Amino acid sequence: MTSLDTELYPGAKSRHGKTSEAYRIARKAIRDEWISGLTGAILAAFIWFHLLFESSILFGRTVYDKLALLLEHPLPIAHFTLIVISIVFFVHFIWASRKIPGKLQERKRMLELGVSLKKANKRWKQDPKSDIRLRKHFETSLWIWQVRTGMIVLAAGAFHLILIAWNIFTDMGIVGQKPGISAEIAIARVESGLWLLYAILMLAVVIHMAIGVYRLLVKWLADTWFVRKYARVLFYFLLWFFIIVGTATTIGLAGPWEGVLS
Amino acid sequence: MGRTLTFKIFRYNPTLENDQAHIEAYRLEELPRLNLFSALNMIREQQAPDLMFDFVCRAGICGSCAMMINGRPTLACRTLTSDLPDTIELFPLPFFKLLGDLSVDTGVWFRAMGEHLESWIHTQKEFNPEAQEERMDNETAIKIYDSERCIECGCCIAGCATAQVYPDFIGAAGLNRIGRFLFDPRDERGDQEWFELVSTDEGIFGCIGMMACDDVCPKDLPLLEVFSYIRRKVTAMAVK
Amino acid sequence: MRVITSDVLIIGAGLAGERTAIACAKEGLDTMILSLVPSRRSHSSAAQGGMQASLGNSVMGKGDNPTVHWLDTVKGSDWGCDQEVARIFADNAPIAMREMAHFGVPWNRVKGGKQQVFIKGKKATIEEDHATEGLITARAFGGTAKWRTCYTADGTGHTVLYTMDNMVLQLGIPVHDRMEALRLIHHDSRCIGAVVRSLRDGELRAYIAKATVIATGGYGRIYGESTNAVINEGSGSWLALQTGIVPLGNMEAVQVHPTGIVPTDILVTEGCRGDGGLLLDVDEYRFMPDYEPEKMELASRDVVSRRMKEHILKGKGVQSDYGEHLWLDLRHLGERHLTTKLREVYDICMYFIGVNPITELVPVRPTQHYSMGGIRVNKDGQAYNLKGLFALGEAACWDMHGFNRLGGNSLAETVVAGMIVGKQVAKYSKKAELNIEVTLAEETAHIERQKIDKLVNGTGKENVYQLRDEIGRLLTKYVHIFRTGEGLQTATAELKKIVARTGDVKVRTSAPGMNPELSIALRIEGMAKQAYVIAKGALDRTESRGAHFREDYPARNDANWLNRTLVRWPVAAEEPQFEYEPVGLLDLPPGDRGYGGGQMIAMEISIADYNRKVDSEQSVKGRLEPSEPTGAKLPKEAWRAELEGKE
Ligand SMILES: Cc1cc2nc3c(=O)[nH]c(=O)nc-3n(C[C@H](O)[C@H](O)[C@H](O)COP(=O)(O)OP(=O)(O)OC[C@H]3O[C@@H](n4cnc5c(N)ncnc54)[C@H](O)[C@@H]3O)c2cc1C
Ligand code: HEM
Ligand code: HEM
Ligand code: SF4
Ligand code: F3S
Ligand code: FES
Repeated sequence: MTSLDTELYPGAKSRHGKTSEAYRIARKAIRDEWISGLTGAILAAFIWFHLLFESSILFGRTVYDKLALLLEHPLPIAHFTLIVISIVFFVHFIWASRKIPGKLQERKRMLELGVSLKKANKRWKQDPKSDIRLRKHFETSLWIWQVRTGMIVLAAGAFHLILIAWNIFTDMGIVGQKPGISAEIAIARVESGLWLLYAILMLAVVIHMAIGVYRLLVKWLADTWFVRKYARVLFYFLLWFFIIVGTATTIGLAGPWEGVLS
Repeated sequence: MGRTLTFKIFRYNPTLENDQAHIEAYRLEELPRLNLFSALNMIREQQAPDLMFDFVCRAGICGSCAMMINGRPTLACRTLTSDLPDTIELFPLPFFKLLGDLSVDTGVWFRAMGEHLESWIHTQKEFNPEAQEERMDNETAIKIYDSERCIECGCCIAGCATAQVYPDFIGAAGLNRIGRFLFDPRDERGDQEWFELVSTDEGIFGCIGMMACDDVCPKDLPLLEVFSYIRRKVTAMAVK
Repeated sequence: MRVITSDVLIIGAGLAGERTAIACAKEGLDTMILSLVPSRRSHSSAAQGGMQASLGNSVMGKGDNPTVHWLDTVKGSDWGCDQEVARIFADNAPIAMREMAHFGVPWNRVKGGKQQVFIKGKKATIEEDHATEGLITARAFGGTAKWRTCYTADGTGHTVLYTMDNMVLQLGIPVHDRMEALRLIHHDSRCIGAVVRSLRDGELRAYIAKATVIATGGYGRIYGESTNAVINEGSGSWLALQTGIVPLGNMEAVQVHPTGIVPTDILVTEGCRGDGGLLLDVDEYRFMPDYEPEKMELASRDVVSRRMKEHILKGKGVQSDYGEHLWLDLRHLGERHLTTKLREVYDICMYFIGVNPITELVPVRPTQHYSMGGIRVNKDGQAYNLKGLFALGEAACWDMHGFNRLGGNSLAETVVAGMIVGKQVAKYSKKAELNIEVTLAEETAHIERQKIDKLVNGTGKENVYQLRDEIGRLLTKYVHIFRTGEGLQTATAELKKIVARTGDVKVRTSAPGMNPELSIALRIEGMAKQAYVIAKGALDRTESRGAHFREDYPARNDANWLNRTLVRWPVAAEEPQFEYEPVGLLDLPPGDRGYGGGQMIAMEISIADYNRKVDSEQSVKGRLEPSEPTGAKLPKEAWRAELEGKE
């Protein structure tokens, strides 16, 4: 005679070993989590190097070209990377977006809560005497921004990838004599008006990456010495460091700052 | 001192046939060290005799009185009005079944959660009244206690955006409960059993790391730490 | 009306109720629990300090055993307890503690090697034996010879209740929460269940069972100013008093705890003093050693509270907007200790009064805390006069506490009594048959329905909150630490009037559902009548014993008052009936407690003569025959070896 409503968790009690449905579901869940996390991590690491390499334009075209050449000759590192990263990019998109609420209604609810929490935070005054401080909260809104920036990265990044692929697989790259990537072409592209797209892509990808890394660290390492506090410091560092580097690079590629550091 | 506070309170009585959810405002002179427990009781006793809310211990220990206070889920009994602006908005916790006004049914949800997770020590050992207790090292006891301190207030679930859209997610409190039993050497549940229970989208992988739970938990439980531990433990189980 | 049946109906989902339920469910009985609130919110969860059991694992508990525990308990009770029950308790407490460990309580454990502690206010180093490492450890509490209080930091009640509730989950025992038992369904000789009001939607239901168990906790909230949860309004003891035949015992024995914080009356645990906290006065002078050179801050609660009040009356209190108070000094315990072992205390100070105990003094004053009195039961937990009704926990007067309960003894009582009484409940229900007397249930419910109708639609004009406040004010003013004939006279006269006025209450809203005002209006008669009984009992008892201290009769009078107050309130009667029965067999002769000072008036008859009367006099008062003869569990003079061994 139970009055309790346990239908909240139908079939929750099936635990029947390795051949069972429950086991299969559990395997899938952890696999999915690892796929989205690991691809995110790979993309993040790639972006760090990518943005740093791009920033070599600040040292002038020669440096940039040398680097570019190194990535294409003698080994076709760039070609290889492009293929791998494209796949990772796509896989990450598919797997990571499984957590994005599908229904508009749901998204709205989430948004409301994020806004409400954030508002509360601003209005929440604290007794200065108290050393139990209510920590400032904004990670819920960060997640929403991660979804938004992810969408931008999906569109702009895919375009960029196609562009670059065309670039290094055509006569300018593997077929031709010159390296696919060169300062000249890059600058030409960027100057021609694509700078706006790149600026947006850069901002979106940096924000997305910084939040992603922060969350990844908190999710997996919060109980080690690398606690949330440090992850947060790293978040701010990654965010601002790459925004500065990226902006400088964009301006460099667009002309004005090219070679300022050389 | 001497402020007049305006309380904007969510009112809805689901047992009334044609009641409409609405916000009602009440005014109250602020007293020194006034907390929301006293304030709400004053409102009930003087202005709105049918106002529903829950307090039991009024000492921040029992977890009954969680509500949305100016948009933040927290314990009303230990919130002082002096920490709040002149206008105080009170809403019931989202997610849980509304019983009326500010009162929600956290009890039934937590009980169902406990049943689902089989939140008890699984052991084959019989208790022997003659024998000395089994030994446990104090560090382990403290670690278990750190998770056991959860008072089932529901703030973490009300504050978690994921829980709002996936009602089957067991929430931070549920994950924390899993941690409590994972830490406990007396619980003989094997990897296999844990794995199937925990490694799901209702379980640990439902959490996408919004961290609000950790920020709003009035007991300052080390929730994120527990989650990390579980994630890695579950991964180890999967690899095995 | 919905009728719900089970073998055992347990009213109250605190520790006492749940442990009983487990005992019954393990016997295969269909068991049902009711509670005003979700079980884990029951007041047991608020207990911080710990539970006493003579495990003797820590070096500071070496040589402890049930006899020493029993001695402390009897002395603590000021000889007002039933010594056999105290013995049953002390013998079983270690088993209860170990069983709870088996169920899953994360007790703090002994750590081998040198430890920094505070003993009697001084820093000291103790060396724990590596041989006991990993066993359940203990801390010091008031009125105890040894360190005996087992704990989990300062959340003992919380962890024990959560663990217990986990067992309830495992056994699949249903808990119907937000249900209030309003009236027992009984004929003259047998109780068959209760009429219950749902606090979700106001529905009235009948729960019918072979055995009914009341485990509803204390009645502290009748005092208004109290450390108790707001739901502790004595609705359980009222269930019994309302029958007109079941007596309540020792209602005037109300404990005042030394350290409620000012102004919110929230308790900070005795563990604070156990771990080395000190009481200071307005000059920040430590005054307790002057009054109690032996036990200092750790004398029993009645004594410390009295000394504090005495000191305040000497003009040494600290003035504040909320009246006078004293200080509790925890600063020397250090940050680590305060944020781990006394973390709840730290949180409470920070959040509720904005005081940081690491650097500041905590304002405290004596505050109503525990109800020694309650539904009088025999040693099996069976209520007097009514078959099929049991009671235990704080709601009952099983009577191991007499006139003063030792800190840490009541949580332990709930679990031990749950084991002992649970067994008896199971035994009883296995033999009894289920009487589903629907007409009787209907009639009983009808009384409540009429009452509700009158409250909602009647012509009354009293405001229930006002009455409640007046009752609290009167009790706090006149029936507190120091009581005088004059004051009690005033209190009883006033309370009498209030009892009459409760018949004239009108609620302002007829909203269905929870209707909080109606809920309290249904309780107010019980609160008023119990308040009256408390005050009247205190007025009649012209002696001082334990927590009951009469300024005009400062001596403990064993010649006339070595007895237990029993009170019944016959149905429709104007006045309650008071009777007195022997406290139980005396094994340890009444003597000096070793703290508290005070005079004593010796017994006139011999102990043997006293003991001869116990059985017969108690059964005249309605005690049902216990399963074992009186005295079966009380080993004669076991204490002698203990006391003499010491010398
Ligand atoms: C602040 C505080 C700290 C304490 N600390 C300690 C300590 O450190 N050590 C110690 O030994 N003791 C301590 N105590 C005392 C101890 O906590 C209580 O005596 C003990 O918990 C009582 O348990 P119980 O099971 O009898 O009742 P409770 O835990 O109070 O449970 C009562 C139950 O009955 C239900 N109920 C009540 N009325 C009705 C009704 N009419 N219908 C249906 N259900 C009803 C309630 O919902 C609740 O579930 C403390 C007490 C307080 C107030
Ligand atoms: C291996 C694959 C990739 C190659 C070879 C590559 C190459 C380049 C090149 C050559 C540029 C200079 C501009 C241009 O020539 O158009 C550039 C800029 C940029 N790329 Fe990529 N890219 C790759 C993948 C990505 C991915 C996956 C992203 C992110 C989604 C990305 C984000 C950017 C950004 C933001 C810039 C602008 C940098 C700035 O202005 O600061 N790239 N990339
Ligand atoms: C194709 C476009 C992309 C989309 C739609 C997208 C979307 C998302 C989403 C929704 C998440 C959250 C998933 C979760 O928390 O479980 C996420 C996580 C993450 N993303 Fe992306 N992303 C994209 C591209 C990228 C790129 C280019 C990078 C590298 C800079 C990146 C790095 C990360 C990281 C590190 C995480 C954290 C992983 C985790 O929390 O498990 N993403 N992404
Ligand atoms: S984890 Fe914290 S916020 Fe969540 S229910 Fe427990 S105490 Fe409340
Ligand atoms: S807020 Fe929710 S998503 Fe995870 S970290 Fe906390 S449970
Ligand atoms: S009333 Fe118990 S936590 Fe607020």
